[in-house]
Amino acid sequence: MTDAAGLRITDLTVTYPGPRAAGLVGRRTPITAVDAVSLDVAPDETVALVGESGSGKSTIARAVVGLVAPSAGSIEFDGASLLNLRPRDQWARRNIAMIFQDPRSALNPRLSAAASISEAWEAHPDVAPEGVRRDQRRRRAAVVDLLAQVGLDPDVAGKRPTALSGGQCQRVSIARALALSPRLLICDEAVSALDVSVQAQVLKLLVSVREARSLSMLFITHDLGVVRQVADRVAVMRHGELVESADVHTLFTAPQHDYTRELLSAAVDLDVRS
Amino acid sequence: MTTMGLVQNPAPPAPLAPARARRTRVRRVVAALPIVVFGLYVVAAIIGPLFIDYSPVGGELDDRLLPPGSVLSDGGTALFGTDALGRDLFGQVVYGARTSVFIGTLVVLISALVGLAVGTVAGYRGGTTDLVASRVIDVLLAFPGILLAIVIAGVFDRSLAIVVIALSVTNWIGFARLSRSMAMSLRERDWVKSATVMGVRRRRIIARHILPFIAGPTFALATTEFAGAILAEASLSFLGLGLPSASVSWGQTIAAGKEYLASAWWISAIPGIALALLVICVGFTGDRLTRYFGRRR
Ligand SMILES: Nc1ncnc2c1ncn2[C@@H]1O[C@H](COP(=O)(O)OP(=O)(O)OP(=O)(O)O)[C@@H](O)[C@H]1O
Ligand SMILES: [Mg+2]
Repeated sequence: MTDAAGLRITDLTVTYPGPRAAGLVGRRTPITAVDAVSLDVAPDETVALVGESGSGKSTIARAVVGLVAPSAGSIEFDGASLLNLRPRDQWARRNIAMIFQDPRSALNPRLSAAASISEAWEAHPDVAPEGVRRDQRRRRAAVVDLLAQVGLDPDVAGKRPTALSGGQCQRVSIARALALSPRLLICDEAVSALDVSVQAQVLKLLVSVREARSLSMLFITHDLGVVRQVADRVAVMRHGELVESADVHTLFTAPQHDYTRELLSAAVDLDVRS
Repeated sequence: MTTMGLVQNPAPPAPLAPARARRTRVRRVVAALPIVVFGLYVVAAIIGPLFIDYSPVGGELDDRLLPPGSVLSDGGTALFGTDALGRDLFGQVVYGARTSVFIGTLVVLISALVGLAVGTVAGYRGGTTDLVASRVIDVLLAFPGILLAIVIAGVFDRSLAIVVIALSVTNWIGFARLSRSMAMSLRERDWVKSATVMGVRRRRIIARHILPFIAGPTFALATTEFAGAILAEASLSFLGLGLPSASVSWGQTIAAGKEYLASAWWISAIPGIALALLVICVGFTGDRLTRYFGRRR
């Protein structure tokens, strides 16, 4: 139990209350979005989670960061369980940050980039850089430093999301995620809402940040081309189950499962056409 | 010939443009009118009584039932006439405005605070909290608001506090429903989720990521509910269930004039018009605010 560093998901099952069977009064038929999935992300490792829409990828991410409660299974980080945390123990999740898909709605439209970023420090004063809580100038310096790490100019600090481009917003989100020095970064389709050219830049940024801070990553995506560029290992999901998990090279050259082969050939078709 | 042509030819489009400009200006003024009138009422309510050097509830019986514009026995002019006890109606209208605006503000303030708190917490937390709040709201919705107010005001002695409570008991529901539904949809926004993931405390999430987005529409609703509260207070006072009879309220004045509708119409009509005009203007203002915040949402 304690030997495992990094993220360890064991037999994770998540069910949503489904629609009611018969109109207003029927019983709800629960939807099992994730069914007994076991998945590890070792330190320094990037695991890509692929699979068709609705296969339960985002649900796994949500369970890991505590947005949904699993109905069975366990989630541990460095050997400590992340489930059933009391509100005051939420700091246990501080090691894990998440980047969302829609760059704009991930930032509060009423707050400046600086306010969004420094909110993380207000929530976790213990890991905030020296003096950012009280000293305005230090806080600004720390924000500017983070912005520089994601390739943004200092003047972005005072801007609201509406005054930023999609790519800039996503960079601010990344800066905010880095504010607490996490060890695992979960990216749920973090680039798929962006322009193709911007996608490449943000992807590059994510990779360079990962190298610089030796982060582990859970990278959720539809795009198998991206997987090959960033991931060490790939986990393939279908209908809430994990069908195959292998390192990138093996998976692309010798897929074991029929469904994986289907996915790959579909991706190749797209490549040929474009 | 050529000179004539020159004189006649220039078909100037000039007059057209000022006409259009004038029309848009007229439209703008008309649109601003309700807000201006509403503002005048508020000003009258706040500083109007300072300019009235007599008691609105004291009068000479010699001066009873004088039509608007009459000269009183003490030499003053009764702009709006006098009632059956010789009391000046102008004074009653101005003091009545103060009562209406004061009670309306108090009711809306209390209702908005209670409704916002209940609705936001219920919508954000969901689960049992939401279930309990929703049931309470459903039950209260089953009573017509004014009926419940009449019952409460009828059971207790007449006082300002009872009127405010009686009107607030159902008034907060609108605020609760608005903020509940908005909080429910805001809760699903990614910025709320990412704050949750970062471990920002619930109270802070509500204050920073949810309430600012509910504030505008709530303000618009407050304006509309303000009109409703004023109307309801006048109704209670008309029925003799409102404020103590020593205070001045449009509802009481209207009630006092109902036996003289044929002979002295102004007693009921003038405060009635004052009430209707205020409610209409506040309603228009509320609609505009609702549309404004609806567009921004
Ligand atoms: N809040 C919810 N309530 C009920 N069912 C849900 C909810 N969220 C997701 N689901 C269901 O759970 C299943 C998995 O959804 P999930 O979002 O995890 O898929 P996904 O793999 O991320 O898909 P995509 O690639 O389109 O993002 C789907 O069948 C979906 O209908
Ligand atoms: Mg998803």
